[in-house]
Amino acid sequence: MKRQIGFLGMFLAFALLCSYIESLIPFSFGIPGMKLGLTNIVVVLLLYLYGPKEALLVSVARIILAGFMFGNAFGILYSMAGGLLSWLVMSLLVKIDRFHVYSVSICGGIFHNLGQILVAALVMESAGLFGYFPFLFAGGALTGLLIGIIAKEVYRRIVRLKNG
Amino acid sequence: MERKIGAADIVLFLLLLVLAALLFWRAFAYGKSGETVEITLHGKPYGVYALSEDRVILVEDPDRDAANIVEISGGKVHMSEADCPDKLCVRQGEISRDRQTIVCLPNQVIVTVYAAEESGFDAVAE
Repeated sequence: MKRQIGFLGMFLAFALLCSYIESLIPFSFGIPGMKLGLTNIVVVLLLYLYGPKEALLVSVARIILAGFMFGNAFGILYSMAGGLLSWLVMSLLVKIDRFHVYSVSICGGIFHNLGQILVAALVMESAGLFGYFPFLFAGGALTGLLIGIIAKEVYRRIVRLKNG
Repeated sequence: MERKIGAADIVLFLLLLVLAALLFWRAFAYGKSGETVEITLHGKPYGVYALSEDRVILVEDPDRDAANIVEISGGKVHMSEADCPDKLCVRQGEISRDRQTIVCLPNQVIVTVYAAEESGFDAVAE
């Protein structure tokens, strides 16, 4: 238990680092608060290393902390919607246990963006925003694949650390 | 994590590909040609213009000192200038078909083209 808390703390720090890197990259799909989703690496890793509960815990803690450090309350709202939706979808796909980590991560990326656009549409009170969705869909799939590849590589290298 | 790419993955991949194609097709090709251009600022109506009449519209936000320039020419509309940081709206290019939109999120300006019979801000709320 103690060991696990230590690991989760380390992952939280890593996720915060990803958030910081993201805040330096001026890449936002043109939507305020919308990000690349690098931190999904951590969520994917935790889903495979521990489970949905641990992934959710670290994800939510990361969103709140990063929101106060690098963003604002608005950013937290966007991130929370994207983070929760992508966590939900990825948890389900991992639980079904028939999909490769790339598929899981791609779906996570897409739903991450879907969650954010849903909140943006609500905040702006406009359905016209969904005109962005094709781009966000493709973008989410692409970053999702990238994150899946990174997560798989990182997993291979740290899984021994966790067990040994 | 050590799983190989299997049948479920391929099915999912094809499904997503079809979905993406549909989304882009709907965004770019689908729909009747438009008749009117509607502009909203902060979700509120700013103006309605005919797509057939060439004109330049300045969309100003007095509260936030932000401005966009919408240009209608040759039956098409595009965002010619914007003072938002990313200029995504400008890069989106021209639109002319029913329900196509140009969105400038930082300035909260939305330009939508409608076919004549579906004109009206109620259509936005759909």
